[in-house]
Amino acid sequence: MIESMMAAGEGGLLRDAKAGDRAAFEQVIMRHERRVLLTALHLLGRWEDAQDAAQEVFVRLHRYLDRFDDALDLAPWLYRMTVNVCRDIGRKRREHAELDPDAADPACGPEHTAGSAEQRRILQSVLRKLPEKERAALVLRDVEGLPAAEVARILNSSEATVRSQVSSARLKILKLTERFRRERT
Amino acid sequence: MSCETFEKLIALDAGGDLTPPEAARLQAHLGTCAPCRELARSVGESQSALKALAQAGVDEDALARWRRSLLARIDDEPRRRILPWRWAWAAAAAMALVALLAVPRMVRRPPSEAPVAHALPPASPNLNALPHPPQSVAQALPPASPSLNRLPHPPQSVAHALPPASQSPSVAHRRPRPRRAPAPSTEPLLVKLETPDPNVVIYWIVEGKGN
Repeated sequence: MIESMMAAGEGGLLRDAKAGDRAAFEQVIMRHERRVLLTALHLLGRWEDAQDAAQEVFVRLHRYLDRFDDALDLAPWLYRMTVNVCRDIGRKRREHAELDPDAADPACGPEHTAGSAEQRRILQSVLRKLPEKERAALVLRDVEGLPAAEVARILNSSEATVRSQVSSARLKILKLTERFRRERT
Repeated sequence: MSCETFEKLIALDAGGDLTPPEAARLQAHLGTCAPCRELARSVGESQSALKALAQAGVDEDALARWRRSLLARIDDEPRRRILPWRWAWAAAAAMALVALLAVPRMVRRPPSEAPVAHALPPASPNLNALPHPPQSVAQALPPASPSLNRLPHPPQSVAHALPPASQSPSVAHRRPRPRRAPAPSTEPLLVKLETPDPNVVIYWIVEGKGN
């Protein structure tokens, strides 16, 4: 997944962006914006919060561009920063913890049926009820499809810990979803 | 092994996270436990729904608005240009090395204890402040270079370095042999360089080894 995100020529774009080429930096943003926005949405559960988080991620990328080795993949850094920024935003906005599952969700294309949109809203709602670290491990492993070892590196954790977090989170998601459906019917 | 223990394996199996021995153990249990088979089916469905989250598209108009807002924010914020870490470390290491080499010498040999050679800009050595070679050597040898004049007196007679007068005194006067370096001295020489700025004086410690 990460390799696929790192399309050819990104090193050149980063070099140009470091030199002050705004268009090159915009290209870097366009390559990663969907992934960063959707990861933030799955971690935070609210589109407005996800937009704020994703902006903060790219602002930090721009701010610290000089520290980047052009030869390294940008995707792991972006995932790590997204998790960190979402953690900070999530803690600040904990008072708004209750997610309205019927809230407008721009993260939907024409290919989505009403049923799948409903399923997605339910899942985003129950994801928010998971403990922070379990949610991050589950989103990166199951939604983003990253290998457990890569998730461990991004979260600065061990592979065994990630396995344990993911196992626990999968069972909780199942139970929370069933409870959510029972309460809505 | 209880069904509760197998729940964790079922959850891991749904994402393909079991090792082959773990998967074999789970399959053996599922063959005999209907509630665990039902749980495995439910976790599998939940897992498919989670993976489908990744397929969500993003409204293009919303995305374009978000990007415009981001770029405006970036334009307002100047980029933080920093000294690359490796250069910062190299500079710090160089400064530490200079401090380690220079400070102990300055402490061990205060300027008052060592002979001081003054030099004024432009850098022309002040020969008056330097020790003179013995008169006999000054006659036998070509004029010494300023750098050699900075050296202290050799402790032994330079005549020993010349061929005996009985062998060929005339040759000794016409074609003096290259001057042998004076014997090592343990006394260091402190060269003081005064700059046009009276607040800036440079001290240069020369090892007293005759070279």
